[in-house]
Amino acid sequence: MKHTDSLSKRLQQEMKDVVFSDIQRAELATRLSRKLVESNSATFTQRIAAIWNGYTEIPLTAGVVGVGVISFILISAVTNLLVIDQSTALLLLQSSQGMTDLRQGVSLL
Amino acid sequence: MDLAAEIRSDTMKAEENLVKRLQAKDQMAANTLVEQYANRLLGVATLVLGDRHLAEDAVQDTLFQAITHIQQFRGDSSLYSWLYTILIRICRARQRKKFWKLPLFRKEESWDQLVDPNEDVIEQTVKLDRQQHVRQAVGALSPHYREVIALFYFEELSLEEIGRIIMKPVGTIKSTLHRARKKLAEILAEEGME
Repeated sequence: MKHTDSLSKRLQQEMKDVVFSDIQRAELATRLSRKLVESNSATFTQRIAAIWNGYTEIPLTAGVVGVGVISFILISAVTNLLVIDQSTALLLLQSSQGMTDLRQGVSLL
Repeated sequence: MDLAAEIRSDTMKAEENLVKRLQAKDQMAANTLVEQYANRLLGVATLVLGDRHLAEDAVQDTLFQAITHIQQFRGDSSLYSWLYTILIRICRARQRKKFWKLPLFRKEESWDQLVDPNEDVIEQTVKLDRQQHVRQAVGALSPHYREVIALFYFEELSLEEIGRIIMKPVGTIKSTLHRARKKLAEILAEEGME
């Protein structure tokens, strides 16, 4: 369908210089033909990389390393909070035993 | 058969032949693909993205995607509308990326590349400004308006074809185009153009 609108003509006139140079086209054709003979079946990692690269500016490797480092820091911090050393555990056991004794004494009275 | 129908039939045959050659991994077909489509795609991408360098990247990605997935192309649509579908999807992804990209790292066209040293500078400035008036006005539109303007006015595709590429009904394309044209006229009027 040809639009005889003057806007089409003006736009096409203004865009006539927006073209790839002969060198760019030749380079692109060479790279494409090389790609064509390569295997068309993309591997799983290639597909993941394609999705990742379509949405982010961070390279996949850097992203994976970053997530790994953040996860390691978070896990270390949470683990430190949850870890109880032997003396603390003993103290907790003793205090719970003491509480049990106290409760038993109160119930006897 | 009239002349237009004959031309359309020849174009379709040539496209089918090109697809078959690409699927058969004929290396010369890659050359044909670039020669026939690269510049057309670049024009649309430049209008949609408003940046020549981003547009060049988008076109290269489009052609690479097309080559990678050519075995899956079943011919339900024409090759060029399939290419435009890929291009529009890539341009949308680029626009999302562009939002986060620092302008500091973007390579701008230098003044030396734009002007001819043998001609009068003032005359050339006025000429350049006049030459890129509509293009700049299109760049001031929102992205979904730019897409329909580029495909309808620059690429001269039908509303049905644009609908298939953008994956929206013809009625929606028609109303989007109407609003885009109105907005474009407003921008051009503000800048003193007809």
